[in-house]
Amino acid sequence: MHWVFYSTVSWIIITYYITTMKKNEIIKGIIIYLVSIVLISFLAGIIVTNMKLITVTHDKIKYLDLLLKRVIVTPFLLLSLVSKYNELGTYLKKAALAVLLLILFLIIEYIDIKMQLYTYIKWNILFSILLNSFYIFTALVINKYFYVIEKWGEHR
Amino acid sequence: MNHYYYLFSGNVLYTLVLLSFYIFVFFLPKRFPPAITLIFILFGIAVGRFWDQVLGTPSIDFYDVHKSGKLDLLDIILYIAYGPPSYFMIYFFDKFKLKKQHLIFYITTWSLISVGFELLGDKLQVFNYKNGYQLIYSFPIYLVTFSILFILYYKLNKLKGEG
Repeated sequence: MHWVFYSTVSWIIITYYITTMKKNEIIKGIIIYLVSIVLISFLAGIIVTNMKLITVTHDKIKYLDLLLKRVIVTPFLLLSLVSKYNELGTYLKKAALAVLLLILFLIIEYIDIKMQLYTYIKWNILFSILLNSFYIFTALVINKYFYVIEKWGEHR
Repeated sequence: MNHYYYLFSGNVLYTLVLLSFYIFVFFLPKRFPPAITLIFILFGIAVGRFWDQVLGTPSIDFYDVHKSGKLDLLDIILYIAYGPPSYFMIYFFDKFKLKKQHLIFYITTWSLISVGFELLGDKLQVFNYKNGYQLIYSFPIYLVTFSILFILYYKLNKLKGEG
């Protein structure tokens, strides 16, 4: 059941992003994607193996679902956020979108706990809010300052 | 532990030597815009960490990086050091204007070089294989990874052509 859920959700998210992305944002999207999966995997490693705040499942299929979340679901949701964020006119709408995504991340995390993909040891929802806010913040910072990388190339 | 001994231990030197390849990234003549260079470097880091998550997970646990199962600073530096090799791979392919017909030979050669580096890492206890994992199993993983890198390269080239 969890495998069906995660593979379906992954397909929906990827298909949604690919069908709505703009061609001129592909390169920025790739950078956001790669930075996201590096950050997510490093922080997951620190939280799980070093600080032991969360234990992850030892079941191979459930761990695959967790990998799908780290490599597909979370990064592509961030990409979709950035894509929609740039279209919105007012900062209120942009803030509302970021909050909506944060709530979506928390809902997914709740489902993960129910499906026993991982277990909180010394972790709580506040830490999840902080962590997911950090991911959203990073994606939005790259979105905002991507032009710096592009301009750097032009001036050299 | 004596800090000087630690700094010159094999696994630390291996990591620092790999990291020093960033010097070449900065000083080689530029062939790509900075954003594209960043993509190729990030690809190396992301894929290195991805495979370690897949193969080093507790349920599979084929190896540990730097002896401990934890993610310490030296591990993070090692992952960051994976960036330049993937960049160089694309750089030299582009520089010498190699064609698609050369890809099989080129990717195979780089995969063999990567296995060689990994063998050196094994001898220096950077990688510690467990539960039956053998170095040669990494070879097809490199083939697949580098193939994806070249798919990315050709897609970005196509975008550049359309832009």
